[in-house]
This record gives sequence, structure tokens and C-alpha cells, in this order.
Amino acid sequence: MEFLKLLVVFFAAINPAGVLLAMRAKQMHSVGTPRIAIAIGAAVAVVLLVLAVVLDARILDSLDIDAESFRIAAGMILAACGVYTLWAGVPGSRAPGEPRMAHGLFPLGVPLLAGPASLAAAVSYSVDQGRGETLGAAIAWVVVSGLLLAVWRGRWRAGADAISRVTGALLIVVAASLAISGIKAV
Amino acid sequence: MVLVWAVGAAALRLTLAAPQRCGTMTSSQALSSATAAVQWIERAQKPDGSYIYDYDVASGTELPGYDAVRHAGVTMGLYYYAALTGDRSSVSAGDAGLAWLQSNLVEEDGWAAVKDPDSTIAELGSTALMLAGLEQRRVATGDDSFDGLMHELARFILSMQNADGSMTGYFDATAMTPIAGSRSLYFTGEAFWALTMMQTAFPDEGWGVASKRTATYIATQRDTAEDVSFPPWSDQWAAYGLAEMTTWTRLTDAEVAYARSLAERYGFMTRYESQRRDDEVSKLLQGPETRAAGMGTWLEALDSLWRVSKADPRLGDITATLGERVGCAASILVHRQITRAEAAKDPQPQFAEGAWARDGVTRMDDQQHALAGLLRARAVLDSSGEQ
Repeated sequence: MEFLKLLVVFFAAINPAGVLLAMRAKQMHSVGTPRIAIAIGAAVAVVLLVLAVVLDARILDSLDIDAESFRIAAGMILAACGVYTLWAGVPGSRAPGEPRMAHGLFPLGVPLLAGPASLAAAVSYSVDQGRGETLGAAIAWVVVSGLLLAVWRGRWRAGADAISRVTGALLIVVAASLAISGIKAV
Repeated sequence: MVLVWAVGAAALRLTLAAPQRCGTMTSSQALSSATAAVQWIERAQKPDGSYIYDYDVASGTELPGYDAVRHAGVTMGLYYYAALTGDRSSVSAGDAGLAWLQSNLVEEDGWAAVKDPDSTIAELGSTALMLAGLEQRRVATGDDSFDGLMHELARFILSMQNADGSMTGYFDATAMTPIAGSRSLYFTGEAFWALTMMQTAFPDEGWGVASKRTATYIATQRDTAEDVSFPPWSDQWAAYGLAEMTTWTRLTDAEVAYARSLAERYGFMTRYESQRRDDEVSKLLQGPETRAAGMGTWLEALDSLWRVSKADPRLGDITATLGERVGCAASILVHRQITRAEAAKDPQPQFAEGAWARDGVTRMDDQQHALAGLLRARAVLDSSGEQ
């Protein structure tokens, strides 16, 4: 049950539909993101997520902040990302110009797959729910997003846009839940 | 994009994710701090038994004003110190404070209530805290010579209790009648705690029935009935009462749920307070530091709720966290107390040392609530080792 909840959280935080749109924002008829770029982006994201999860408590200690208070801050980050996605239809920066390998690092790796929302969620849920499940849920959506990006040819953009915005709304709900749990934590 | 991230991170760092500094804390440090606070109260006591009420530490001047409820609370604090430490040196100052209260009693038909000398109104809170003080005095000294007065005060509280467990807050000492419909969010909890201790002191007299009636009201109705904007009302007295109740009865599910909600409230407040600093940036972004009269009540509540969680397995999951919060709140308080060295620069160091001041001013209940919280924190700190 907790893992399912984490899958929902990271689905909202990574927003696969939003990733597709952001990577093809200016590439209406191109062949799409090079697969090598997708692999680079996924690898970068996984590395950053692993670091966030492995260093979870150390990050909080170094900031002199406890897990409950970080939940509130993470909730604010997720909420801001959710609002942006709801408004803009994409969860962050759009890929500039024609597809290039460099797009794997930016914006795909950072901030689309490993962005403020997913990294903050990774630190917070890792401390509270455990590293293994948190990392598993996060990486699952990185992989799914990468696979979708590899096969997507840019059709049904309107549908993807709708899904992305709804996912943004879901992220706001997750954010509220996270912040409230931080506030109510003893 | 990098700029947005940097600005966002900086904003979070200055607000919601500001650093927390709880510091280290030992039981002996808590006792030393509480002792210094008691000694401040003793030095601040006047010949008639009253205390310096509001005091500007920087200018060395006493500010006008007095309050019978806070007088009763401070007097109770002196007895509480003796009861919890076994050191009876504070009892004589408590007795002088008690004499002031006795000189302001309204008595009739077997009951007694405390009236503010400058008013025609008797407040339930001062009577309840006077009773609480006498209960602590009885524990500290074993002296039962005030048992008669205790019962008179307790009967007044009962006369102010309504059928639903709510408490009428004020009594018209001219018309000699309760002021119907008057309420105080503070007095109800104070009366509740005093009644629970009457049950402990006199277990065969049925005070527990009245205690439970008000406990139910507080846990299930008060926040709505008394228009609390952000429930639950932060009521450390209710927490005291619940902790006392666990020594002679099992709490209802509603009372346990209420205790948990209080713990959530006080836990959050403590975490937020630990992020505040005594500098202008922190004041601007996070508000000023809470005065000791406020933080002390948080510590009192956390101490009490920790006891409730130890006694009731339904709250066992929050015992450890409550213990951490107690250690954090206690360390914040201790580090904010004016030390002898810091007091030396003030015009009247004897009225600065051992006090807590905000914006240069200390009020007598700053010391009362802080010392009570710190004294109770010792059990938590002893239980969990050094925080």
C-alpha cells in the first residue's frame, strides 16, 4: 500500500506526460529526442535521485532541519511545481530548438526527470517511508518516462497536455497532504 | 532557470526550511534553570505577598498592572517547585503569595473564590489556580491544614460548572451570582486540572465525575462551542488534567484523540519556534520569538502529553517524538534565560537574573510557566538520556 502511494507521488512529481510535451515543445514534426539523449537524461536523473535518497538524513542534518519540518517545505516545493504545471501544461523547462544529445542532460535529466519536485519528494519520503521503496517508485517513473519518450511521435498532444495539467493538479493534492502531515506531526 | 532555483532555495531557507537549533539539554540543566526562575520570583515578591508583575529589565523599572489569575499561577509555581524537587525553600514565598490570595477571598455557603482586589468580578481561573497551588502545597509538605479551604474552592468550581461540562468563567461578587454565559478558554482548563487533582487527593469524594464531565466537554465540544478559530485550542491546562486523569482512570477514545491533536499542535509550534532567531531577519520572516510565558506552556503541555502517552498505549507511537520535542523546547528556554553574567549589566541585576525577557520586558508568569515546564521536563530527559 505504501509503495502504491509512493508510485502515485512520483507519478505526480515526475509527470511523464509533461516530460513528453516539454521535450517536444518546439519539435512538431521531428523524429524526437535521440535515444542516447534519453539514456543520458535517465542516467543523470537516477544518479541524482539515488544521491537524494542515500543522503536523505545527512541532507536534513546539514540543513539543521528535522524530517517533519522538511515535509512542509517539500510540500511547498511540490505545490509550486504543481501550480506551474497546471498553468503552463509542462512541468518545467522546454527543450530548446531541434533535438540534440545535450538535451539529455538539460532539460531532460534536470529538471524534468530529477527536478525540484521529485528530488524534494525523494528526500522527504526516503526519511519517512524508507529508501528502497522511495527509490523504486521514483526510478519506475523515470524508466516509464524514458520509454514513452523513446516511442512517442508527437501525436495526441492535446491529450498529453490534458493529462499533464491533471497531473499537476494531482501534485498539488500530494503537496497539501505532505505539508499537512508535516504540520500535524508531533 | 538556475536563478529561479537559487532564489527559491534561498526563500525556503529563510522561511519554511530555516535551520532548527534545539541544542543539548540535561535534567540538571533544567533544574538549575527552574531554580533560578524560582529565585527570581522570591526576589520579586513584595511585603504584601504580591510580585513584581511586569518589569523592564533594560531600564530597571516596574511597569504598571497586576492580575489575580497570574498571581495565583505564580504562587502555584512556587509550591510546584517544592512538590517536584523536594526542596521546600520556596514554600515560605508561596505561603506569602497564598496570604495575598486569602485576603482577596469571597466566601459564602461553604464555597470560596478569589476576587481581583480592583474588581467586583471573581474569575474562575484565579480560584482554580489557587486550588492547584494548595494541592501542590499538600504534596510538597504533607500539611493538610488547608484541606478545608481546598474544598471550599473546589465547591466554587463545581458551582460554576454547567451540565455539559463547560465552565462559567466569571462571578459577579456584588450580585453574588455567576455571570451566565461567560466563558474563558483559559479558565476551563485550569478548573479541569484542579478538579482532577482533587480526585487524586481525595479519591473517595467523587471529584472524578466532575473532572470527566469537563474533560468530555473540552475534548468534544469546546472548540466549536467557544468559537476557536484554529482548533484545538492550545490548552496546556487540559494536558495537565489529562495526565492527572491517567493516574486514576482510563481516558475515552475522544480524549485520546484530543490529546493527540494537542500533541500535533505543540509539536509543530516547537519546531517552528526552533527556527526563530533573535535577529531582525528572523523577526521579519518568521515573527518574533515567543515569550517564555508562551513557550513555557508548550513545554508544560508536551511534558504532560508525554506522560499521557506513557500511560496510555493508544498514544505510545508518539512517546519518543514527544520526548524529543520536550528536549528541544527545554533547551530553547534554558538558552534564552538571562544568566547572572548577562544580568550584571542591567540596572537591577537581581530582577534580571533568572528571568526571561522579550523586547526587554519580563512578566512574572514568564518565570512561572518556564519553571513548571522545565521541572516536568526532567522526567522526560531522565527517561531518554541526554537529548
